[in-house]
Amino acid sequence: MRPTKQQYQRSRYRAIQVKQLLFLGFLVVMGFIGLLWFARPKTSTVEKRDLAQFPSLSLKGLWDGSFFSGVETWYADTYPLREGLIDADTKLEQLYGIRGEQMISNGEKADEIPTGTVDLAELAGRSTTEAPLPSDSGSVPVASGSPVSPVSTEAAPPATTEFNGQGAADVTEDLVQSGDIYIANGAGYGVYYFSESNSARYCLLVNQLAKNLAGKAQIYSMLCPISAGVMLSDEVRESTGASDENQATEWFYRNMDPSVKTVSMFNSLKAHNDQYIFFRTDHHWTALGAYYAYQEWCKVKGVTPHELSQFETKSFEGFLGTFYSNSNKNASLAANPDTVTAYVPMGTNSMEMYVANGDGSFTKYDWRIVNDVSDYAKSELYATFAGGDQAYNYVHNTAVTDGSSVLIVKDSYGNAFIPFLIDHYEHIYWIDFRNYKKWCAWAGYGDPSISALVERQGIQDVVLCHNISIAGSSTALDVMESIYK
Amino acid sequence: MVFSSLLFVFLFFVSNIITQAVVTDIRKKNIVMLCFSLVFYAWAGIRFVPLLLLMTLICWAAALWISRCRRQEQKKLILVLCLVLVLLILGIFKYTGFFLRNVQLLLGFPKVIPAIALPIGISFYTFQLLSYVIDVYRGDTEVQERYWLLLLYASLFHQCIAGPIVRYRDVNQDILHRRVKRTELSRGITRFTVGLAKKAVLANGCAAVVRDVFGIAVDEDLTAAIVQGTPVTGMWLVMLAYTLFIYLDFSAYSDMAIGMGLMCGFHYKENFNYPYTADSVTDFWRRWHISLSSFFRDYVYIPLGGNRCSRGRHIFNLFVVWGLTGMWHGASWNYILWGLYYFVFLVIEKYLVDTERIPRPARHLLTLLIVGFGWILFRFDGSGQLGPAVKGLFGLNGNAFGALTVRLIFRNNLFFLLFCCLAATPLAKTLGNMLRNLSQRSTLWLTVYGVWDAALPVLLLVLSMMSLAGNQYNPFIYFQF
Repeated sequence: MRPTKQQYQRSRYRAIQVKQLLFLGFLVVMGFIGLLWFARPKTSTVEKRDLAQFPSLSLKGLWDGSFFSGVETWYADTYPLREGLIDADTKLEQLYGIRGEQMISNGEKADEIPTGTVDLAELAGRSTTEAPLPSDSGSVPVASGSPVSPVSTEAAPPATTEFNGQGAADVTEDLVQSGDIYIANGAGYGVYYFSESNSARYCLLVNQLAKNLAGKAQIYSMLCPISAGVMLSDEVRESTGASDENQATEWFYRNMDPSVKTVSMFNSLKAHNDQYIFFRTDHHWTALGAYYAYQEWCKVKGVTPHELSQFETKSFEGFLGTFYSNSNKNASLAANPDTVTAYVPMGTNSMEMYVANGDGSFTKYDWRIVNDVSDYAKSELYATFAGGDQAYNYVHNTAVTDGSSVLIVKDSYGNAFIPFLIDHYEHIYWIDFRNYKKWCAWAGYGDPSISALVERQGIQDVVLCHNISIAGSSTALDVMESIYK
Repeated sequence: MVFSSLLFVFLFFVSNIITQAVVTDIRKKNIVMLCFSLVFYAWAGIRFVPLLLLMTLICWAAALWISRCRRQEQKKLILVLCLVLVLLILGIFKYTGFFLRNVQLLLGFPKVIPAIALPIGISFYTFQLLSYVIDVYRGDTEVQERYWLLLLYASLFHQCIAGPIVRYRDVNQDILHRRVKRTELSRGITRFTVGLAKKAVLANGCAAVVRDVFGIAVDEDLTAAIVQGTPVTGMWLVMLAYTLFIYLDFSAYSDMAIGMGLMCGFHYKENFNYPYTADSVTDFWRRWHISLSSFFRDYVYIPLGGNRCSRGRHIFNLFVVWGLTGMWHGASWNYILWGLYYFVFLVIEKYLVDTERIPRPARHLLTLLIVGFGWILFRFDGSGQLGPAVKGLFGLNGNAFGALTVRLIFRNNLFFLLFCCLAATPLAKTLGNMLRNLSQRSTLWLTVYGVWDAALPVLLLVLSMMSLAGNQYNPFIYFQF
């Protein structure tokens, strides 16, 4: 029915009134919510970072505007409804296109892998084309629900019940990277780019360490492949611009001092790539992946590996790791959460570890090598292994009484590997290269070098266990420089 | 402060419209508006405020003086002095670094180039003030006796930092006697929220596509090496996404300014008229940043003689106008190059090729390509990025043609980019008009129209909030203007 002029005008009048009320009402309500200072969050569990703080007032800040831009950032960053809005935005962005296959790139490019012998010192001096590491990388976790470091330094009882195990690894954010990610068919793949100059730097560091430890301890170098090279066909891997990890590993090993025992594990992992050896939603390998690496280590060491069936297992479901958070919560990853399975060492499951308090001090805890993480945030389940990324850790395995000892120098790839090594030694030490120097400063050891630690504890074997990306990262190498001595 | 921020929308803007509605007396209304505008301007740093006050003072005094002079020569002298002074100040703040860098390149001195911070919005408010003085001189507008009201005009937060360039004569009446009409308020609400969503969701999304192709993080700067390494298809995707970005972004600021103006009784002219539907370069410039091109038309091109002169002189006039247009956008060679690039095409269209003889679809596509390539000149500055960017489009950087990353970014954003293309056409406007026409024919459609019209602003606000919270990348590119 056609409305009369009067009807039309009346209807429009009413609609406009409603429109004004809705618009203004919405602004006022949202503005009011913005004023609820007590409801403003301090940390973001989704993004794993501390949110912006209200800037401090200064004349300079007012004059150059930095105070005001700080207020603007603080207002938006800690807006009470922010997490819900981000979630909704993430869902909306899934509609932007066909998102099953995705490449999250930092613009890094691979160098050619040279075939012959090279002059390491010359290469290491060359400037690198490497792009900076992503800063929002993911595994500097923020404990969900409870404070990050619950134990103060003064009253520091090693009360394991109080520390929730999540987070607290005080490692430089830049050094916890998942790098470039290729996502296809519901799984993420870590992409590796060979960097000639950085790789040369790593070899130089290892060789220097080998010289310092000559006649004192045996070095094992384990360069762990990351997933794209192992899990994807060469054709797909090449299309991502990724380097051949096998060739790269060989390059590294070729350029290491002959006294270093090198553990080649790429082919073994590749041969098992139909199995669950890498997480789909996280940049780490699974314990099964680490087990195949362990088998290769046993060959080099000349010992018999234990069978998987000998271990008791623990499983934790629903893991959504760094690929998930760094891909802005890719829906195909969300639909394929991981299960973290851990193999409990037979000799002992007890360890000591030193957890950073964030103020430069550390607290010692009695902990479990394979820890029950069932009540952790779903993004933190990899923390089941070896206490996560703590600076300094020690296990006395009384099931072995030959006085044998090992030091594992590692990044987070080492965590899943350590439980398998426990049963081969009486004394097992491991340090995370990213925060070991801080621990030394706190513990009163002036010399943070590996050789000083080896001498102090009379360590026989040193296992350098790093993922291949870390061994080519300039930021990581800058940190390694002070301890690989 | 930028319009596309939660603080602006939920604190600043909401307080502004409430106070504007509560205060009825026009004098008090103007005082409140001036306070809001100065706070808004000072947000970029209090250090920039004195210059705004000074420039306004110069133009206010000059116009007042001109209006009181009897003799034409005297008026002219004051005008010229004012223009020289104001343009000198603009030049010092905006072009000193650029000028000295070039002198240094040529002559090797000075050794140290002073770093002068560019006051935000200086090009916008300077041009507004100049248009005021010239209009007073020409007798096109009455003089404003009160300094603070002229300051209100120059600093009005709706358009002070990102345009449009509003003429004093167009808002004089609004400053003195504005009243908000119900229907205009309603239109303003829709216009503002459309602009906000256009910026927060669409423009920021396009900017993110550009960033993804280059693989740079939010806080990371683009380098020549990154541009150099981008595959051919990547550069074309950048061209597409940046072309969409700059229109959606810039026109969104104008939408928001026009919308906020309507909500409190100011009437600003349209600044964009679907420029990407243009079928010639001449047509494009009738539709793009209209307030700037009409400024140059009225205050430079026509005084120089426009096209009512010899062919040589006309070409010279065009050259001057487009050189200045380029320079206005930023103190860098690439902007000047960008301006002169258009000069070349405008001369070609005027004197060499009869574009009417090209079939319309081809003409349109050609115009889009010219404009898109123009944005490459605009985007990549002289610090070594422009060369690789242009070469990259034609595969001259020795890169692969395509790459998985580029293919995936394109697929991951396919629907979004299509939507942005549609958003650059009058489609939404046409659909809106159809709905309005239908609503006059049946009561059912009248209800549908009422519900849609009332719900749309809130829906757009929610979408904008989501994007502003979820996307850390919220570029404001008008600092350099």
